[in-house]
Amino acid sequence: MKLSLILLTTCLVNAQAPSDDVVLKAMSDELTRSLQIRVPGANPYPPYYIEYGAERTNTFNVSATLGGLVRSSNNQSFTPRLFLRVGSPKLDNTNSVYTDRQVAGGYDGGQWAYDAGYDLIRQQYWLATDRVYKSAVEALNRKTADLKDVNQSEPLNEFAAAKPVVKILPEVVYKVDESKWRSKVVEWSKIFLNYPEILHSTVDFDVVADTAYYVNSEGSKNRIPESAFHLRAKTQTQAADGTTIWDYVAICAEQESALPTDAEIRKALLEVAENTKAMSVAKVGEAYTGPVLFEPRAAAQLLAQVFGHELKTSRAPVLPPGRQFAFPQSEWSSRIGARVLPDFFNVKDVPRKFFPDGKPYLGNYDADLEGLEPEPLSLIEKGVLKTQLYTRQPVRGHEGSNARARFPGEFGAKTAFMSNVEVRVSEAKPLSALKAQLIDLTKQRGKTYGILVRKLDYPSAAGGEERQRVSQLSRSQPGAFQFSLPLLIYKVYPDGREELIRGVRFRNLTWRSLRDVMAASSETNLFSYYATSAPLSAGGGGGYMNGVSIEAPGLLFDELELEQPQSDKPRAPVVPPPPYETSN
Amino acid sequence: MAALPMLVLLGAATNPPRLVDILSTELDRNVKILKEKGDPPPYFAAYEVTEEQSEALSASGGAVVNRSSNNSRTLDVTVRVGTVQFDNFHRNPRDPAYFTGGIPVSVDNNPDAIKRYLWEETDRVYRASSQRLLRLRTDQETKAKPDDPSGDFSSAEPETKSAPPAKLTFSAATWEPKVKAWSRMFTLYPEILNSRVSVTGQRETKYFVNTEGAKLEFGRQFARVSISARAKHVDGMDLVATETFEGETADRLPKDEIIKAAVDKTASDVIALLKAPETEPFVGPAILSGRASGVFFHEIFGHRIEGHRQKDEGEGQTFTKSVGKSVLPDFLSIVFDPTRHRLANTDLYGWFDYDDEGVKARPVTLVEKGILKTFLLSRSPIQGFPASNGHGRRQAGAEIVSRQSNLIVESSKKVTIKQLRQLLLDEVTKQKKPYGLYFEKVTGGFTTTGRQGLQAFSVMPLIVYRVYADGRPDELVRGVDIVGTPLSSFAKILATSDTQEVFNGFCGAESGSVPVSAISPAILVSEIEVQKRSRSRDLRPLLSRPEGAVK
Repeated sequence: MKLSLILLTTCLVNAQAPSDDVVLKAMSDELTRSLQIRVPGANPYPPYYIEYGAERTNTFNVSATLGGLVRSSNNQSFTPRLFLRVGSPKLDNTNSVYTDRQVAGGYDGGQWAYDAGYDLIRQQYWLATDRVYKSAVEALNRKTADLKDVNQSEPLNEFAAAKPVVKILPEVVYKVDESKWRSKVVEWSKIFLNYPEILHSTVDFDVVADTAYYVNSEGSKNRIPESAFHLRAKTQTQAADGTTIWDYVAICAEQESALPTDAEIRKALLEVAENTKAMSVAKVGEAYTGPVLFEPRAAAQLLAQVFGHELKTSRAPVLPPGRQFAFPQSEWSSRIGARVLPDFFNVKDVPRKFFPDGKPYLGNYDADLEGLEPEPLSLIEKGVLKTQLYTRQPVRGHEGSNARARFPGEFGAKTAFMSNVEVRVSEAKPLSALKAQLIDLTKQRGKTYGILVRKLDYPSAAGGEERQRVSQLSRSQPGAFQFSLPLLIYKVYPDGREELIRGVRFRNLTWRSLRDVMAASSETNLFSYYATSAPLSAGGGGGYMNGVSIEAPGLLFDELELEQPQSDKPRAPVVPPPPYETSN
Repeated sequence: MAALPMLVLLGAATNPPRLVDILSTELDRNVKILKEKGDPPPYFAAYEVTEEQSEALSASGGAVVNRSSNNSRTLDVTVRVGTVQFDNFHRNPRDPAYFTGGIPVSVDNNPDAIKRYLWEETDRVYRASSQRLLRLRTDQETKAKPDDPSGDFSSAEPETKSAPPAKLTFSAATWEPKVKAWSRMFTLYPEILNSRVSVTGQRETKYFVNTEGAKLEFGRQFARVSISARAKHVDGMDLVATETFEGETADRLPKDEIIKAAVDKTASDVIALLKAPETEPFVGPAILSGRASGVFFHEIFGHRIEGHRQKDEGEGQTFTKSVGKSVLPDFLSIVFDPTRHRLANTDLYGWFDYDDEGVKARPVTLVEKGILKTFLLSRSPIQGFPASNGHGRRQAGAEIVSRQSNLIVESSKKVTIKQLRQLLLDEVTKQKKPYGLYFEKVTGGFTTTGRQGLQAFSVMPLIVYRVYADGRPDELVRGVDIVGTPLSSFAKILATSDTQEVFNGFCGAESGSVPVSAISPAILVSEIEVQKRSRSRDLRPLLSRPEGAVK
């Protein structure tokens, strides 16, 4: 398999823009002209900042079940991103509930031409700028009216200064042997034919080859290749009591060469099948309060959820007087300089990281959505929070980006997110010693068993009921933090025996629980995944995803709580599943 | 995806099983067990798989905007529990019957994969069907009896046929240079802000089995070219012109010169609209071109004679009690004929061999010399009409209701278009109006048939002229909407032209989007009401077109 993705080699960094890049030239030329846009009349509202972005993307996806090809498609798209500011960095059209409201136009709407030339790209940006500009002027006027009778509790600037960045990397060339991948995915999906107790299984594979373009009126100019190879397998069945059981695996890589071998993929799928089979006959767990050991993968999944939520910042938009607006807020925003983890923890975010063989970590990125180049950040030192992840949106107590704008956001801002997180501990023990410590704690407290967690449902592959529960909660209580369910969770008896259980979830688990981590393992797990802005990083979130990696040790918690949620279970189907005609 | 490799689990020497056989085997297995162990047991079940293969291409300003190919299958499962007299599909406006999930299934005839989907979906649909039946029974005990006591499911002959459509030969790649070139033609008109030329080729195959023994494999192809252009008047009004060409297959589409001429006409229509005065509210005589009349009849008549609306307590039921009575002028008849593929040399969109309940298509005369004879019927019977006439239709993923096919308006009071125009001028003079209206082209329409709210329709004209009685040239106007109420509109039809025209399109309603045609001569009406269309007040783009931009 050949895939001509020349990615991210250091020798290409800061190369000059080839003068023949039609997309960048058209964007730059039209942006320069667009700075002249004015409303007719006495108050012309000149824009003080404009940015144009675009993603030129080739997507291929294939889906199969039990050796049957269900879907295969390819698609090309050109997705523009435009933002424009009128007013000044002290007061502009952003950070208002009206910021995202489009009040005009529509002529640039619909799909943009994938292979447009210079003239057509300029025409499309011309029409889109007109729409965005008119909306911005209206948003500023409405916001000014809202502020007229309000004493702002803490006036903040609207937009932080930043140095322009020019970074031109080679564009992606899409060359995927689609036929080969179709065959592979169909073959992999046959693995589940050997597991008649699994009622439903799917294998999905996506390739996204994307060149991101960015120019702004401060002189930034980027062209960044971004690719994703994403294989997902999910299984589902029903336990005897009706409970829905599922497991999944997601394999993510920035390059085709970084994907595991065929044998490794088959092994991962077999593990999913075996897990599902085991979970379907596991006993239901009971309510529990006591010590819990997270093995490194589960610990990385847990920390990914905590950091993803608590490290980003947000700011309340200006509202019309009397109107309420609930928005998610990180509790860590007011805890810079305070202890958030045990004092033997150090956490860094490293956006440019490579394995010894030169392959990139999944969370690598060269420039964020505001065109800025990220540097490594020390986030937590000896358990104390040193900084959060910032965009150019000033927030309470901080102004200035650290180039972590990785997701589109609301009200003219972007949303910050982590890249490659390193969780290091100054005191570590072998995992076997942590398990022994778990057993000791169990005995000391007169318990018949302790709890060990090997895998969480994160990013969540939950279906129906669980997904509905989480999305309802995130709608009704924005910012309320829900951890994903444990998938592989075991009772550990004093003799070291492990017994898989099912049907329990954590109760009262918050970031604060991390302060009670007693010990960490010397073994670590590198957990890589594609994050979305949807709850539990499940699918959705506007289709925008970012690669993230987190390397973490296993964690022993002094005390956590488990509960067995009360819910009615669907009855088993009246008709038994059809027997398979073939086997793998 | 034109050339997907065959991925077959069975050995090379074995022929892959036919999809209808897989459907039939699994249907029998599920229903047999459900009849033995299910409570309530099903009395009827059906599987329908809709297979779509398509290639599409669209371009703007000489560049490709979208290039897509699709090969997919969608499964719809029907399970009926209860009795033919009262089952889970019993109509209740407060609790619509919606069971099917329209789930994707394997595109190769892989029995293991397909049977799993069939089994899973049958289980889900059976549960939902049983639950709704219980709710309906409870509801029945506490509510007044409906006006229409007819049952919920009629009998029908099980049909068997294997007639898959020919292989899709359409290739978007071969159209690409032409489509790009046509889309580039709009760049000669700087006033046009947005334009698009698209071409699609599609093959749709339906596989249907039911517990009565029906076993069908049938389908058709579609090909379509669509052209659109948009501009903005200085007063903010958005203006649009469109043209479409449909053919059963791509080789039935018009020659390149005709499409090219249509691109020019679309552009010149938009430019002319930019210069045209805005309409004023007007009540007076008008001619609707054949295509405009087709939409007029589709909206105000066609939707109101769909069978399920006659027994749904939430519907306005305009014609429910009108069978045997005059509903149109006596020189008009209306036939729905899903067996007809062409009118002269124009391909029709609303044809099919069997409907989505496996009932064979047939022509149905709805109105004969102005008298209403029957309704469009699915297997949901209505009082006085106990059997389907093959109009139970749906888009994959929706539940079936009665829908239109090829609506054909026939007239016995025909004059040439020239004479019709003279009749219009006579009417203008008679009514002492300054002008009459000529509706040349419409883009579609909508109607409200519900009991709550106004029983009204709207037709959205694109090209409308004022026709003056004093000999002045016809004058194009913009921003026109036709409004009215259905019954009063029919009484005002005075005469028709002697030439039928075709409007092909997709009709959206409860059971999704289905292809339809409306065929009609031009009609002269003594009175039509038009209103100003609501419009944007946004300014035109503030900056001029970028220098050097597409031209």
